[in-house]
Amino acid sequence: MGILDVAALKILSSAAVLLFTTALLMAGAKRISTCVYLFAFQSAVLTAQVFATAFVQHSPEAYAVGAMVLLVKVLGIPYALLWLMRRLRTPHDVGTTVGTGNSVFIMAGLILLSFSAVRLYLQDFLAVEVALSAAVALILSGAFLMVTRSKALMQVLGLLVLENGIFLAALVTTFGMPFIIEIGIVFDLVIGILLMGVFAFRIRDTFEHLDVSRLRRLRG
Amino acid sequence: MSMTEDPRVMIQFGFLLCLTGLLVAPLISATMRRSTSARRADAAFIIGSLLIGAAVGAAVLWHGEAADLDLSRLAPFALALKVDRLSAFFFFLICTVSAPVTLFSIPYAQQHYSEGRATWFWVLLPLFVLSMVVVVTAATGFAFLFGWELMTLLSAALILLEGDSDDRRHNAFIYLLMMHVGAAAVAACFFLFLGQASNLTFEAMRSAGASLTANVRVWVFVTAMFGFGMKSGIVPLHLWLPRAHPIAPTPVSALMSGVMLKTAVYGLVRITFDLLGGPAGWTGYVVLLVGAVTAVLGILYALGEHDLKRLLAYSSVENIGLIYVALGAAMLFAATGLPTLAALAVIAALLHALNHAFFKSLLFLGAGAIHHSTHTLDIENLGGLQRRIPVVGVSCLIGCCAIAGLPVFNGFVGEWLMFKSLLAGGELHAIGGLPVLPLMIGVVGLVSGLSAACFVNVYGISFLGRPRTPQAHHADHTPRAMQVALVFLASGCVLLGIWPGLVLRPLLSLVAIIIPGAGTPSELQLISHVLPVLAGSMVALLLASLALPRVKRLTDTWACGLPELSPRMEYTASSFSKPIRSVFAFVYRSDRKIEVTPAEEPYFPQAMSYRSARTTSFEKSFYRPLVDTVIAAAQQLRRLQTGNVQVYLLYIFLTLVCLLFLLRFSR
Repeated sequence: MGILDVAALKILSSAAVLLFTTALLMAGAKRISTCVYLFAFQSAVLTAQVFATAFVQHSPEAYAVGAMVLLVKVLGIPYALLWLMRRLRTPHDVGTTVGTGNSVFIMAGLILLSFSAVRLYLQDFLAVEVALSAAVALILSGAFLMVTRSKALMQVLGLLVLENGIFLAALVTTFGMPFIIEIGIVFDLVIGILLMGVFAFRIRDTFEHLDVSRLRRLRG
Repeated sequence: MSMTEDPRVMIQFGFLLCLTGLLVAPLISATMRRSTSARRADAAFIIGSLLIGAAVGAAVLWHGEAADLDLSRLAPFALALKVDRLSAFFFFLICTVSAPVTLFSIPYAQQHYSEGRATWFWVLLPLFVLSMVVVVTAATGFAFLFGWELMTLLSAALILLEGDSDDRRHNAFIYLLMMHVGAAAVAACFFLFLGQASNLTFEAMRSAGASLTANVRVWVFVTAMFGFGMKSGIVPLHLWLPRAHPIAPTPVSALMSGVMLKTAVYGLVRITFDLLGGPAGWTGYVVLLVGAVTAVLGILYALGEHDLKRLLAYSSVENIGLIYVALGAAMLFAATGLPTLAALAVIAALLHALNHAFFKSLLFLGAGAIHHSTHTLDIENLGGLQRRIPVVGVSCLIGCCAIAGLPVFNGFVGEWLMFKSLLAGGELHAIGGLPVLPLMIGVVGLVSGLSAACFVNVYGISFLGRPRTPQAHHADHTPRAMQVALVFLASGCVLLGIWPGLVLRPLLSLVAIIIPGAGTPSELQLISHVLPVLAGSMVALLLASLALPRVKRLTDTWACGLPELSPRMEYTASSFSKPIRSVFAFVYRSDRKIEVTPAEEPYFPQAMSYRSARTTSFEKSFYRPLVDTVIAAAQQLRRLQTGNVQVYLLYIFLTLVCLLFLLRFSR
């Protein structure tokens, strides 16, 4: 077994720890830019996992997917978000509605929940189990961020984290989705970010703030 | 091709021709030149298609050769049609009644609609008929539901075509709402078969029907009863009927009342007798009781009305009730192993369905003709029309006689067979059933009597006496097409009344299929032979009495010493029905209000006003609380909507977490 094989298997089995860490750190972060960097790091871990899978499975398509993820999620989107923050010139706090300390605790609870829920159903594959619980934990943490952080940019970030979770789940359960679907998803994401960026400008120009908890006039 | 295959080929060809005709007719009306002659040609085309359809129905009914059409490849779902004997009967009913109604529509559309609306009318009318044909000839559950839904939507479109006002929209909304709830129940009924059947073709459902568990059978019956009951307007689900029928265009009212309600009867027969492979005893009691209540309340409400179309709508409720009574009796007989009596009761129900289609559409068209001539439908404003529009008068008289169940008119035959089958209920009692059937004789008797009173009222007040208003006095001439349509339906009523054997014999072979082991009830022979003789002797008696020399005396009518008679002295519809309404006062519960001014001197009034509003007690005590509950629940649910995006996200998040918890702790 060559050194590369060992590295690939190691990445696949232990990347989950890094992902849990990013999720916990995001829950504790107070500045939006910290979250953006954490998201970039999270995506980098994901990219490593994609490349490892590609190496183990000998699938050239997966390399292409990995490159795309690297380009879009690790570099493109974080850069765009940071640029957006500079241009918007809004306060940098995440707008917590639940304190950061409590958030970390809740996040830890969510990770435990995802572990215990997933473990019952996948007792055979240890590596996959950890990765799948990481995926569920990412989905939950993304949703959690969207619920508890009131700044529009944090909503975008929560969605991105959530999408990372879904991506990871797809990766570990099917060992890479077909290439065309991956392209579709990434394209979807890019368009989504574009739209949200536009809306962030519009919201700021109209309401002089970016706090979604203060946007509540539209109701039935 | 050998000669023996000829009828089958002809039937198949005719069926295709009829369907194609009904499908092409809207295209022609949408695209052609808008002139009177073109409209007539279009209507003639529709009528031709319908007559071919009627011939096909009759042929299948006589020969038993099924026609079918499988369009599953063209449609996204299994869309197959098949005309077996049961379908053929209703197919025949739809086509025969729709043809004169279409004829009637020519002058109607010309008088009531602008050019654009008339085009819409001629597009929608054949499609509406086609949707009903699809319902009764469907061979798969999806085809049935497709036709069923189309029928609702097209009839609602036709209702809204007639005009637009808040009131009309409200009533059309109630119609659509109730129909969709009913359609949901019908769909559920079909889907319940999926536990045993591999797909939703009637073939598969029929073979699965016997192996359904008792529990599922109960639910199939309950949903069928609710869904079809909603469409056929059983009490208390009849709310839409007196609202939708009066506001529809008159030809469409005739179709809705005379034909569309029968599709629900067809559905119930198809489900209980055919697909479920025979009814259970308790279902018979349910249908019987529901039918009895519906019949009695329907005719009582009809007696309280003086708007002609509302009155006819309530009378339809009554007739559906009678059909249900016969069906209930049939179910009881079939469940207790008396197939011959069951056959008799089913024949009574189906024959009454056909008869009702004839005389009810006749009366609705008669109402349309009256409206055409006098521009009113309130019978209190009519009177003396017999001498002004005699053809309409005689046709309506025949319709009224038929609906009242007088001999030598078709209504009599169905009701007589119904009585005979209920009388045979003693046999059921002897082997351990509840003595319900003999009691039903009283109910049906009461209903027949009340309906006779109701239609004496209708005919007497509107056609006899003196005109009560200038409109009635100057009643216009009725167009020829309307007269022909009325005469066609009226002669149908008389023909079926004198020679019921025409229909009874094919009905017998129909019933032999859906009720295995049924013999020939002797009553059929009897009535088929007696009625022509009776009719002949009545005609002879009439001729003899005309031939006898009579003394003629011409004097003025005594006017109680007043200088001359005035229309205000006549009986009104309200006063005529008042005694009956007093006896059944607990049914009506009208809100009366008398105001006397000045209030402090009640014995020397200067002006008095009297208002009496009738709401059926179901609206007050059943539907109002129901609607209020739904609205209150919706108000509470509105609190979920805070307007805050994050709260909405929280709902999603919590759902996710709860699902994970479920996943964790369910194992």
